[in-house]
Amino acid sequence: MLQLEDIELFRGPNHVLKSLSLAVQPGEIVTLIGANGAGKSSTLLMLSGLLPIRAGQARFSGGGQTLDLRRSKPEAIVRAGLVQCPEGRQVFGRLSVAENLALGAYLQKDKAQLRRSLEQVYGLFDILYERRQQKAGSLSGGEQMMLALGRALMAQPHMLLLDEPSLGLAPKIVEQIFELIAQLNQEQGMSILLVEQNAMLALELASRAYVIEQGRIVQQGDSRTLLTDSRIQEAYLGVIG
Amino acid sequence: MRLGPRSAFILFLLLLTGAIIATQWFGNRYLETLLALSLINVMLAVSLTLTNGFTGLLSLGHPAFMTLGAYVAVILTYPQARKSFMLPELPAWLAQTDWTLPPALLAGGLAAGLLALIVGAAVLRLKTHYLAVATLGLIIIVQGFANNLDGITRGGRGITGIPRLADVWLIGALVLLVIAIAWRLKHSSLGRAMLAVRENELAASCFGISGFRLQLIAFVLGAIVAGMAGALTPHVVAVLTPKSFGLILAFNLVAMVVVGGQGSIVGAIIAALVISSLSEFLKPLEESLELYGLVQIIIALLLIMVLLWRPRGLFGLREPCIKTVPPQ
Amino acid sequence: MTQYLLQQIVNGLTLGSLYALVAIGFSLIYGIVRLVNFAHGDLVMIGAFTALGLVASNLLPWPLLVLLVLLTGFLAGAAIERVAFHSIRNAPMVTGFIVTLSVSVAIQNAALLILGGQPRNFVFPALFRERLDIGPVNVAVIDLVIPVVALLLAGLVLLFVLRSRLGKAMRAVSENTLAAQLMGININRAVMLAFGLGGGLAAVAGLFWGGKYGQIDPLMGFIPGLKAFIATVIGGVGSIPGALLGGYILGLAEVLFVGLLPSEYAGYRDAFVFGLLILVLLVKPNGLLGVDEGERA
Repeated sequence: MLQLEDIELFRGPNHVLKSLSLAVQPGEIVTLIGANGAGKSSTLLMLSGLLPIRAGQARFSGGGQTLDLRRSKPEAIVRAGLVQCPEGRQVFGRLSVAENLALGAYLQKDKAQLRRSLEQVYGLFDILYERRQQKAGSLSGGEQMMLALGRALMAQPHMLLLDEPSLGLAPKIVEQIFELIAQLNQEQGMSILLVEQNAMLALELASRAYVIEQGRIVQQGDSRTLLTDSRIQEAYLGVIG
Repeated sequence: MRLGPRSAFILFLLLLTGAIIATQWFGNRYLETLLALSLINVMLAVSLTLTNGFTGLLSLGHPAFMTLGAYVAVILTYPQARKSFMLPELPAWLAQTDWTLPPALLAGGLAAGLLALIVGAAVLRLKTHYLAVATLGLIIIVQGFANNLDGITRGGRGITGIPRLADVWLIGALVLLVIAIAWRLKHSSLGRAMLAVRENELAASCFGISGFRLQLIAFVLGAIVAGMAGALTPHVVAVLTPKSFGLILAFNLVAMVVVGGQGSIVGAIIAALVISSLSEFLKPLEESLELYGLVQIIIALLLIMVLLWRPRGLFGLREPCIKTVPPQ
Repeated sequence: MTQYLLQQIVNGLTLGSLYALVAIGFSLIYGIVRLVNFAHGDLVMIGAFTALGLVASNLLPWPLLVLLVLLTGFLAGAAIERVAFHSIRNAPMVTGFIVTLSVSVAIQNAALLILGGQPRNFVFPALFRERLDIGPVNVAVIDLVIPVVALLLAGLVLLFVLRSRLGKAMRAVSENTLAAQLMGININRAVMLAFGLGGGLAAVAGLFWGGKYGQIDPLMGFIPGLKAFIATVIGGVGSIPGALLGGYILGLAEVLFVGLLPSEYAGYRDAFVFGLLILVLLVKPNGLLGVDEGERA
């Protein structure tokens, strides 16, 4: 579904991704874990077409077509069904909840489809329906996270890119959000690439994982195996062995 | 080749002396005027570097201070005999003055500094484009007064027949003085504090540096120099009108500072000399082709190109060709 | 006295409408790229000269002429964005500001070069100059046409920004460029649209400016542009209703300053306007209807 091979990425003078290879199969939840500044968010921004790739192959296939991400504009990537829910939620604070959701389906011109998407999102989050007239900026952190997720779902993605969904949220809400992600994956077969600093949570949810350090993939494999790996435990899970 | 600041200064002094002697040797009035006006531009560019470059302000107000300084000085030096009919509404004590240029320059500079102190205390709380528009407004306000206080300034008709008291030696000496002061300031602890404010006002305030106070100091110092430069100009060209120093000048001065590198004194000097001579040498072209406005378009495009390719100007904060001792 | 006052108020509303039309563009552009576009005032001049050319050719009916001026302004605004401002989008604010100032200087001098510095007469057809008595006030038709057209255009733009899909996209970009891109919104198109809309309104203001004051010249846009920016600041930069409000407040204040004080103060008109700006900035830096930058979630 998503295939990255030997990606080199620069942000200004900084070499942020070095020969990075990564793949996500249809229906899979894959997580990318690593410390602050390791290159996780850059990877996702690059996938959404917001950072130019210097070298390597990047392909996404969904809905029966294949897209070369190196040559695609952000609009084309969203249209193909690769949609990102960005770090820090980034809702449009001065716009209403309903307007935020409508913007999520910006490229969808079919009104009937739009209504179906909206019903689906309101079905998942009734709190968003209740608050649909409210300004997004007035929602609580957890509600904003739901809005950000709902907004991403409005685009009817084949694959979702999630950047730090647990950031700044209470543990109870994080649990709710992660349950929902699992549900989307199981019921709709949605593929998910999850970037997380909270490695424990991420590894429990995902089936496979990549560990990134200073722009390089240093380890990869089955989540359960990684959970028990002593190096991972020490570096990312806070287990002192 | 890199020189120590002292030898660079002496070299500049020698070049300047040579240029002045050369123009006087040829006895060419045009060249002498050109040199005088270019040197005044250098003075202005260095003083605006002090105000904007060191502290990160975006003031466009120099022409306002120049206008005030110029009128104050001209009123003080204008021959008594002609005041009675040119400027009939001057109060008696001003109508009788017949000053020489140096004290009149000082008075013009101080008047501009005082205006800057009063205005600055209010408008320096504003940032970036708000400050720019407020200072543009100051130009228009000062021009409005110059235009309307008819009996004191002769309004839009302007004052003519001003004695050409500013000789190029005096201007040269003042330019050297301004450069020396700006240089000393930049490399003093006060100057470093100003640069700190420019880079990060919040961080600077953590070390107890008051951005506002330093910016006010820089604003007032810049205005004093601008007032003196404004006072010099009509004593070179013999005419002063409310429009002598306007928006285009404000723009050209900012261009000099930005091209030079917003904080580089040598950069400002070079940019001022290049832009002044460029516009002077292109003027015949403009006139022969009857393409009025061409010079200004070229300066504007030059500035855009510098900003696109070298957003920090030609030299940034650096002083090219001069060894600077790192702070102890 | 009341009649004189009412007459002055009508004049103030006309002038305020012109400021408002230009101010809306400042707000739209600032809202989306956080750039105070000093070249914006020059679109007033471009609109006025376009109108002059069209009036002289005497081919078009008036409503169509207004539309064509609007379209020219739109294209000019978008073109200026594309050529001059596109590459500085992520530059520091001061750089952007100086570039817009340079562009303004370049446009004015290019116009001087092409059109010459002589002011030209601009006369509306007799129909617009006809005078009507409305109650105690005697007004020219144009004094009624200007506010009506201005309010109509402002209303349309507001409706567009609030209701249409592209308008929502523009607001999304204005709030959060990154998130807007992740929704698949084409940023370049949204930014060009803002410059275009602003340019169209400013050009229409130029058309009316010429007709109302009778003369146009290549430098005519700069001072009205600055004053319209002041109107924007008074209303709150970034807000369209604020720009309207600021425009009318400034127009009324300026006309009443000139009309009610003894005539020897009339020369201080511009000084008064800038004094007002400094006062507003000091008392209410975000303007009357502005949004505090810090509030943006």
